[in-house]
Amino acid sequence: MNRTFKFILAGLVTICLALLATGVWAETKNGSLGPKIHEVHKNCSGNKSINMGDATFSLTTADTTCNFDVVRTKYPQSFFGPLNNGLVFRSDGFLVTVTGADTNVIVCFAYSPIDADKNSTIWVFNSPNWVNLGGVVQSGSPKQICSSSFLFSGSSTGFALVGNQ
Amino acid sequence: MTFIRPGNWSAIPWAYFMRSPKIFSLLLAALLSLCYALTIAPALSWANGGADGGDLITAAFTGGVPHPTGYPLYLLVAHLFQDFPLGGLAFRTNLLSALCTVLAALLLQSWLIRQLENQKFGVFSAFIGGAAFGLAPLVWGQAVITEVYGLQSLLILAFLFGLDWTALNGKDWVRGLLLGLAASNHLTSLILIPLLALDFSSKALFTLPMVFFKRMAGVLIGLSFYLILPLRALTQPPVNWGNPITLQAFWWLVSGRLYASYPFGVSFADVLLRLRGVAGLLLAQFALLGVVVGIYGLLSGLPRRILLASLWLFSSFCLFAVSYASYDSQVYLIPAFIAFSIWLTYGLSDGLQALSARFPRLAQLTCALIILLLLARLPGIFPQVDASHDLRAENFGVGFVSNAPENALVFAQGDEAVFALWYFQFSMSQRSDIVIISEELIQYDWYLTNLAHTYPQLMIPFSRPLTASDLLAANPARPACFVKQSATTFCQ
Repeated sequence: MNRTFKFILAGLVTICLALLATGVWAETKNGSLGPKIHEVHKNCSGNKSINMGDATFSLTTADTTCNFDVVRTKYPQSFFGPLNNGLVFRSDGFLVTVTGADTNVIVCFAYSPIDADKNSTIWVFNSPNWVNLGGVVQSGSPKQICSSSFLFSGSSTGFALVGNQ
Repeated sequence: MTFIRPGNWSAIPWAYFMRSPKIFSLLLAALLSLCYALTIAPALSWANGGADGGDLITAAFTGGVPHPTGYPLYLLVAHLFQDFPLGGLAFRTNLLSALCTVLAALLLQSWLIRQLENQKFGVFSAFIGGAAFGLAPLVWGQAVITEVYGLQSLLILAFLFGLDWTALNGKDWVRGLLLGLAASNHLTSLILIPLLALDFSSKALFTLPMVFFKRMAGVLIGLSFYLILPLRALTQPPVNWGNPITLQAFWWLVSGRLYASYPFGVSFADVLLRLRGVAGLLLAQFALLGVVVGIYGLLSGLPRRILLASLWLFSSFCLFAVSYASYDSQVYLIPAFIAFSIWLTYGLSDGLQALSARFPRLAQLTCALIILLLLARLPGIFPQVDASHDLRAENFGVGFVSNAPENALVFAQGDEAVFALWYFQFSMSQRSDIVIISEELIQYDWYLTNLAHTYPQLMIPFSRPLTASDLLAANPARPACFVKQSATTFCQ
């Protein structure tokens, strides 16, 4: 390759880079303090509550032989499905699975003043749509919003905090 | 020797000036020092993604252990700077970043001058390469705050310099030691291990296996700085990530187990977006003309070893940056920009050489124009990197220590809030009555052990995983404050 050709090639590559370039760097929420709890597995012989840090899931069944899993997803939109227009996820998504018993699960999410401003409530994924479960803001601190849902044994259900943009 | 005659009186100064490494070294040092001095953060700063500053400063000052992977060499060097009687504590570690980056740019220039010593415009091009690196917004931004990337750049360049330095022929373990030191500052430097296989001292491209193993032995010696972390942990400092006094805890810390989900933790769509972001950042660092010259340099026939080394440096750190799921992962592109500065230098030297062969005066004019263009960029870069007026972290900390209720339990979320509060309480010895609790870390036993030692009066219940509610219930006499990042603070 002679010099002119190399220079022209360099110019063309630069133009391609300029056309493709974006000023956006796809960010995550992960910092030096580390990620949030990703996954917890429990059996029902002891405390039937799983605390993921920003959400808790508590079974109401008296059964002591069931098993109970909660898995966090940072991408609830792609993992479960999209929301209606004008709504956004204000938390990660959580996939809850119970095996060995049909039971109610009490779901609570951390509820900041910003969540309240955005009219955030708890939603459950009933394929193929997200459905609003509502929720009651608990007194005490730190603030939480709680609701309940029924889980069939062997089924997996998605939960998330959803609010306005 | 050129004699002064009517008509060529300008020849001597120009020739001497353009081929004087000393003059260009002084110019580069002066330019970068001035730019950094005008934009350096005066105190603890969140500017330019500097949330980790509070953690690093406090760990260095108190003999503690910072977040994974521990940065042992940085802690030792930072502590030396903290004893320097100039400005406040945070300013001194900001100064460390600035000095390391200036030295890195000078080392890059020096190394490039050696590579291009037979080129007419080699010295000038090396100056431009060093300046382009030092003034790249991402590099400049990290040079004016407390962070590890200034020292990382310096050590990576020392390693590249050492690979090629004939004085180290027969002392290959020293070449490995330089890489080990770089890894003792930032573990990602181990990505460069394959470069230990390159042979710069003979016609062979790769070294003999025995030489490679000698270099690896040097790496291990350099990595021995990590052994200071358990020694620091034994003193039970207030910042003591992982409490690495057992082999398991030590490995948890230095392997970065906490961040195990970060590598390749980005969705495919975000990887593609980040690749476009790399293109955008490249243009932002070097401008359109710089990118053209850099790519031209890559095509202009670099010596094979330098081509391989720079390609590996560029591609490996680009891959790491786009696939690592932390919010500030673009800073991992800084070593890639070292590589691009090398390509830019070669491209410029080659281009000016070709121009000078046909149009000598035009080549000289082009050099002057390039310097003007470089300086013309400064006003545009300045506001992007200027940390000299960023007092958010200081105001946050001062405000909090002034207003927090006595004996409060402070539940803090986010790097900015937690690390800034640690800085004010442990480094500045303010408000020893309040208890700072990181909501992200209370899920770890090592952190609860650390809390128990740092705050003996704090009642820590046995329930696991522990929540803020559990701690509040166990310490009912203490008022509670909740701090999320640097924004929302509410106390009860």
